[in-house]
Amino acid sequence: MSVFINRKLLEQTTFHSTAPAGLACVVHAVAEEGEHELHFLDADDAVSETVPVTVAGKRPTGEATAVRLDVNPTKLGAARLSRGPSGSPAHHVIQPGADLFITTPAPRDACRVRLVRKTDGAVVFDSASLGAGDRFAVTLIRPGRYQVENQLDGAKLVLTVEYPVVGKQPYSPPPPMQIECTAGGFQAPTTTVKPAQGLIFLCSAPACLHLALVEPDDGPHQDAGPTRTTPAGSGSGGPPHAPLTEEARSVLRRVLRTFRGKPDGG
Amino acid sequence: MPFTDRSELYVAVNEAGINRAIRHVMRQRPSLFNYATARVIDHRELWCRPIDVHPVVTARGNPLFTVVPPVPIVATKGGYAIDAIAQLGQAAVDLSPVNVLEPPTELGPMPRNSFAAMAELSAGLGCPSELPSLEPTAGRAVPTLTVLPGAMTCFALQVFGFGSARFVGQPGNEHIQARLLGFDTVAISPQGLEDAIDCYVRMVVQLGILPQLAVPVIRFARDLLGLVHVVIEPSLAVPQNPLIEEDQIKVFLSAAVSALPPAPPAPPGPSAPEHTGGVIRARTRTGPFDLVGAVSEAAVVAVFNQLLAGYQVDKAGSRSFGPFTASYHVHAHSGGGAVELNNDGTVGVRDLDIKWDTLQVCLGIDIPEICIGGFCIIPTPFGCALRAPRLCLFSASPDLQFCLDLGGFLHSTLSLAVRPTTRYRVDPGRTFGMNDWDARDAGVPNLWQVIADPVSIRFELINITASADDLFGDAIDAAIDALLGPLPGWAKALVRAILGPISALVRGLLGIADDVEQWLIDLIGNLGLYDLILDKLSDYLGKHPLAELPDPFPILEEEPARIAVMLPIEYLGVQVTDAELVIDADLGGVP
Repeated sequence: MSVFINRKLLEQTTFHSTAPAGLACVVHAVAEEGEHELHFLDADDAVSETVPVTVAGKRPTGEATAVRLDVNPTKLGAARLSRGPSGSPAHHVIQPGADLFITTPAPRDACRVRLVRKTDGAVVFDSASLGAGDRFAVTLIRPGRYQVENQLDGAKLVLTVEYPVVGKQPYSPPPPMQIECTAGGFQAPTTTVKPAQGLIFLCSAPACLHLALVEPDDGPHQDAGPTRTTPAGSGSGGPPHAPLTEEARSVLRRVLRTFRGKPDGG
Repeated sequence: MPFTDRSELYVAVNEAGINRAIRHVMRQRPSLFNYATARVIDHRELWCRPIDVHPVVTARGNPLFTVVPPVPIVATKGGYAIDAIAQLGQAAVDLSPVNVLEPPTELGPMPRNSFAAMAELSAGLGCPSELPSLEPTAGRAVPTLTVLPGAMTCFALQVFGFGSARFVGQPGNEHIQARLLGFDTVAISPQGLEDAIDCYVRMVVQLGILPQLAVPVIRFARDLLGLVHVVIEPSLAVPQNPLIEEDQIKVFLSAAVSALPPAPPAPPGPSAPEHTGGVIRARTRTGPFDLVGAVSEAAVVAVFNQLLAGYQVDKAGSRSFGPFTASYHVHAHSGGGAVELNNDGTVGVRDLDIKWDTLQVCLGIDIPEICIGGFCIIPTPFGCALRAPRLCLFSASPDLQFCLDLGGFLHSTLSLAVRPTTRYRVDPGRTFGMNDWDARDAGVPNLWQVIADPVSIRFELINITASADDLFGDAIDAAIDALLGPLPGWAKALVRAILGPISALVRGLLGIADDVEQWLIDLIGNLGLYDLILDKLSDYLGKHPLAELPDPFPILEEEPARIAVMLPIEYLGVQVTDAELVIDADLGGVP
């Protein structure tokens, strides 16, 4: 019997639009044609990787959609090392209107991403400052109370993720809730969401979004150990748990070993 | 009327069989019937008659004679002696009523419950044809000098006797031994000489030969019923026992049969060899059997109970059923049951319980992958242009395995009918050129086996004596708990919520419509476990005989420089009536 669970993703309770990871992502639609470069920035905001991107061709119409570009720092970093027959670095060609889909499975690999026009070095997109039309999507699993903050203007929103209930029918999360991120703050239809329900932050004003669990809900049995408020911005760790049994440690070690060989976790 | 109406065991040997046995004994143990001084033994030309001897006796250097001292010449104070020889030739018995031999009238009427016996006796003295010049030794002490014979002066006598049989020996190991009731030599005069010879020969037979021919019938019967613990003794319910009538000697034995204690666990290593590979051997003779034996129904039941108590099955395996896999480990044994003899020649066993000590069925299923996240970020009129990242569980195959321990809950029975039959097995360890005595020494004798040959076996699964639903639900819950063990409670709750009622999910995956019990019963059948029980039982009965007899069968154990006396069993048959099991046997003849 075996089960592969990316426990870090399952217990992820902190999300940041600057460096989206795990169950969070940022989506930016590229508008301008021309030669660009994707820059991956390290913790000191220095460029650590550069990947050439060409935006060219006709904008798709009708049923056709532009092929998205998965901006996974880990994968694109590896792609940089793969060179074609000419010896030139691999680069990507996308159509105008194509989406940059920015995320990475492991939070430790997440980084800030910028799209820079090659001709003049102008920053077309910066994940640290989402612009109009950009989206930040996230799935909250861990029950409890979360705080959302736009770190560019200080706007805040408190969301509550309900504790799951085992019913007579299999539970299916409702459709994602869209939250407008405007110059006047957040506009959400409700402040309570179901577990594993998706959230889509649609920006119409500059935003740098940060979500963090501030009060976990361990349900009616409180069997996940003592509750604790996680300070905002304290990383992706969840609340502490009761000490694991040796059997649990053994299973966890196996899961982690397996996970190392399966980065997607599933 | 059944043979065993007055005792649990019955053995009858007819006179033809006894006479065949006598010839085998005389060929294989000639020193019991031939006596001579050492010098005569070494000179074949001095023997009164040739000796018909089994080749193995010669090959193994067994003596043909028992050495006796020379006959002293009286009045020489031990100074001189002459050689002597005495040989028993043909011998035969005629069990009451006498209808083959013609005993002399001097013996008078034959007593009831007795037999007549006849033998040819040859004897002689080594008298010199001409007395050599010898010094008189009267009054002197000198070493005995055996006078060189010219030729043996032999004479032959025909001797008759009446005898009876009786049990002798310690309780539990009684032997049947003949006893002389009367004796007479034919045509010797004067009467005083005849009487003197009669007296001497009678003492030789009664005190010397017959005690060495005692047959350990109790031990034979005990060995035959080797599967059970049995206490056998001559039956007291029969006034004349042994009974000699109808040209047979009949022996009635009482037997107290009980089960053997369970065998201790076998030591590690290869299991004991099984005596398989026997073949049916048909009878080639016609007429009465040399030996007829019978075992009462009670004793047969005890033997069958003991045989069936040794039946067990142990196997593990697995099978894929498409949507799921099933593995099993089964260990079962039999118990109970009612054994009875049927009038169609079979032994029936009804309601033999199959005890499922272990019946663990493990099911491995693929739980549908469940994914968290993956919702649509950018919907389009034609679908979804972009989806959120997702986290998926249960992607392994199979990712849930749960085990049902049905061992104590399965109630099933077997009913079977077997036909006892005999087979002849040549031991594969017997090499070319090995004679019967070599095979006996090497522990690889040929065997006559009594096998319970299955005629019909019916397996009946009564039910699962527990709520199959509970067994199922508990097993699945335990498996899910183990699967999600390392996760915190809220995560387990979420997974369980997404999966919905697990039992319903698993039942759906396994294709269980309604009745879990019936589904399990069918599954066990589809795993081949019912066939396994039947096949193993059939195999077990074929490999574990009810009884085994070595061929040839030893009736006199070996002695120093003397091989065991063994009787070839030319045919062994077995049949069942509604009252007893009857064994028929023919002894092989002398070539």
